[in-house]
Amino acid sequence: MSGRKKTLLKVIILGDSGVGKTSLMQQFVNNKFSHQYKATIGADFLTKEISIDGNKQVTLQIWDTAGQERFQSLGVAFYRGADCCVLCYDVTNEKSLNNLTSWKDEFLVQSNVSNPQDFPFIIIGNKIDVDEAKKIPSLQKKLQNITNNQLGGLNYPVFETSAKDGINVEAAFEVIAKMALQQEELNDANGNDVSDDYNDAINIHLESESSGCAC
Amino acid sequence: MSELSPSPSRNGETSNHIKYNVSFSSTSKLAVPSIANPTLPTGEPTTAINLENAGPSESSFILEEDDHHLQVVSTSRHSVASDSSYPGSGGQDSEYEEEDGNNVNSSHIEEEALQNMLSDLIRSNRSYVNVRDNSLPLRELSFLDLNIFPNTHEAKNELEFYEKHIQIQKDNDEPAFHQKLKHFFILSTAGKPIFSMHGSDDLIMGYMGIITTIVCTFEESMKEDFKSIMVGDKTKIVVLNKSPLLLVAISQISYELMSSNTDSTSSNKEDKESDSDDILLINQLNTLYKYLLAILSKPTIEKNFHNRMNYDLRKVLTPLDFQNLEALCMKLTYGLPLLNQGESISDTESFDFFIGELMDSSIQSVKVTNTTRMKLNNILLSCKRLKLRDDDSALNRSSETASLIFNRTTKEAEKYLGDDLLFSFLLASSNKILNYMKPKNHSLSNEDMKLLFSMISAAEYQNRGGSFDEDLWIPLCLPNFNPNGFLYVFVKKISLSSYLQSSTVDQYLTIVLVSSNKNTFFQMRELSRFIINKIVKREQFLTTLTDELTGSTKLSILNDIKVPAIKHFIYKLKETNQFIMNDMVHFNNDRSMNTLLQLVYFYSILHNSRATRIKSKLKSTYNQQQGSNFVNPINTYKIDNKKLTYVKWQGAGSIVTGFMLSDNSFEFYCLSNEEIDSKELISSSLKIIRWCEKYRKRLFLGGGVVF
Repeated sequence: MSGRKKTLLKVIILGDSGVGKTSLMQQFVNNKFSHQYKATIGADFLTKEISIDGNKQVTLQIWDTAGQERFQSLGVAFYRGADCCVLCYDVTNEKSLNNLTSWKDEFLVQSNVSNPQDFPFIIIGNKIDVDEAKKIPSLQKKLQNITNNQLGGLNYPVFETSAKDGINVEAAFEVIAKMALQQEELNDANGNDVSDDYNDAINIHLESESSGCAC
Repeated sequence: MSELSPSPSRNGETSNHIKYNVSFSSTSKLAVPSIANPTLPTGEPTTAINLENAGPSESSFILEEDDHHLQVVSTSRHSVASDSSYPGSGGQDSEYEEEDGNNVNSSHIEEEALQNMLSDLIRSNRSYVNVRDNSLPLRELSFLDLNIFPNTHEAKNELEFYEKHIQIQKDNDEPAFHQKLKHFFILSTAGKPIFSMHGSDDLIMGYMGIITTIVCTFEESMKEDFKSIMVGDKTKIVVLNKSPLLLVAISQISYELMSSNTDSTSSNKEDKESDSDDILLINQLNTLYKYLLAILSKPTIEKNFHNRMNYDLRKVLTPLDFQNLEALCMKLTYGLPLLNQGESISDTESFDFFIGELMDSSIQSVKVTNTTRMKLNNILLSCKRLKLRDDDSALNRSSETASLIFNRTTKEAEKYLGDDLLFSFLLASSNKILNYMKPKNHSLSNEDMKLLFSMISAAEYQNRGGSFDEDLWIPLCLPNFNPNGFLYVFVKKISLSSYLQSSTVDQYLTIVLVSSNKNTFFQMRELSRFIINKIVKREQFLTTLTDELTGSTKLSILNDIKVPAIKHFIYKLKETNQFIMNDMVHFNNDRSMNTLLQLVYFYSILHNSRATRIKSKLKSTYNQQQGSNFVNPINTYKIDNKKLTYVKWQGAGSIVTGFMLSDNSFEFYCLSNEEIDSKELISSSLKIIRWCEKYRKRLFLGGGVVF
């Protein structure tokens, strides 16, 4: 009795302030880029419909959060019921790269997902359009250290993007949607979907000889 | 004005981008409740009903209150039993006439006292009453004249206003979305949309995020439930948290924002007051929530969200469910049905529903003579006595296929055909209740009945223009009865007139059989055939029944009660929470949307000003609503346990007077749209009230028959 075929996925974008989360989202949804930097206050919400494997319609409900510390208290509301999470860093900002682990931990604590090891994450390194000179020295090595770290490693797909030039942005979101969809289908297959409807009949005992009413 | 402004200010050019600011100020005047955080009792409140434990003379059921507290309500059986309402003699309805004679003195005194009181009341408010501008030609009142809704976009006529501000619109047009006066949203606590009255998915997605964030922030940071907020003085947002679901209502409709239901001078509990201000919208949200419970049941919803807050509940909802939710939104807010382009209102089901909700989940009764009701009751009762083996006559009359099944069930050694029959109803025009049969240890609450009837009328709406051959079998969870399981409802609508050669009018009767066993479709169908057969077999009875129903569904004050001054009235019997009213056609000589919206408005105002208690004689609260020509001297006088309210609307060449009188046993509301003085208003009202009391047994079905 499926009412609609379109799947709705809640996507959370996390990362330090200024790494370009809002720009990535703007580029993905509206194909626009602004040079002006405006800090996100609280959060932004955007939606975009994409089709996966040519036939599955997916609506992405993107929750773009503020990177600034003072908005962190909004936590649970954003993270609860997320289908996937995008961790962002700035290829010119080493601190933002090092903070990825704590963003992931923060997410897992707040969202309280049932099986954290299978939860779909991807990592986006933004601003690859800038001069090589400005980029983090020996970035690949440092990135590998973070993703391959045995203890709480971020062993997730990595995308290097430019929100400014629109490089790799769509590809990254397509992958995250695919991962989330897979997870969703896995959940449904696990029999979590209550399919046996209307079987909770109420056990009602009417006294027999019920026709004894004097009317 | 609150400091928290979730004002979804438009950000630049994108059409689906919403930005919001959350800045909490300690001085914010949010209507958060100061009562202790209503937490759900841990563990599942699943064993709400213990059927075995219900005493023989008492029926217990659980009402789930708005604040999650569970309250056990016990109804003493003698108050709902049939015995007192249906004396065995039957047939005579004149028992009350002698009493009238005895009470003649007291009622005269009462009439005079009331008249004096009302004329005092009117005199004291003279300064507020605009003298009618006689230069204006008398013309038909339009709901636009009443400033019920803010007409900021200057719609020129009713239809334009309806299309702009009321009609359900699901597209991506954001300016149109913001012009709608009422919004309902259902979403998951993760912020995923489930249902929206207006707007496309794209359009509402951002708002879902904002709502989730605000509600969650209150929960997390302040350990409070977010309940409601006034934005400016014209918009109210109310949230009902039924985790994992959130239900939201946003209203800009004046009669939904009225806050006159409590006595501000004597009430020192601020939180109580704010709660009662929101009660109307909270009740609406509860109705939508109960719809979801009715089709899914509580455990299904909880199981689906268990361990996966990202669950999308829309997966288990069908297009029909969305349509039913839309219909509920329109009925709850405006008393209007879902209308296709250019379609006009064809029946009053939606208006009846609205009035029932307004009168605190009251059920509409149908006037028939006691004899007729008794006969129908006996037919229902005989269903329970119908033995499979012995009743050969039933077997002979049933069709071949039925007798096949019949024989099969006989082999299964069932004793009675109606063993699993729990409740049965006979309904006139799908929502007016004619007969009700229940077991002695169980009852249905009015809320459950309304939900059931609403489902039936939605199913009948689907079947518009179809034949009457259809048997409906609906699994339904009735949340007050038991939120955890399903009952199975057999519905059969018949056209009484089709069995009569001479009849010209269409009169329908709906048979509703509620079974506790999902495998009893054929038994219920057999019972329905038995009932139909009993009803149509004697032409004289059938003719009487048809004539009576035709008359009572079009109840007229002028013809039936002979009171010309009153154009519309509602009489509610408090004991069983049932009401009757006359056909709305008598108010403006039509059943148009214009008339309907006026009635919705006038009765909302009358009803909502009901509980105002003013002890000093001349004190009045004067609410000038948005500087309109609306004259609203809400006054309530107390004599003994009686209360009365009087409201007058004037302007644009029309005048409407509303009057309410209530005591411990009844509530009476009426409207007149001609010049009427206080003396006539009182005497006409009392005439109608006495008529209702005299024919009480014809008008109300009481507590139903018990088997």
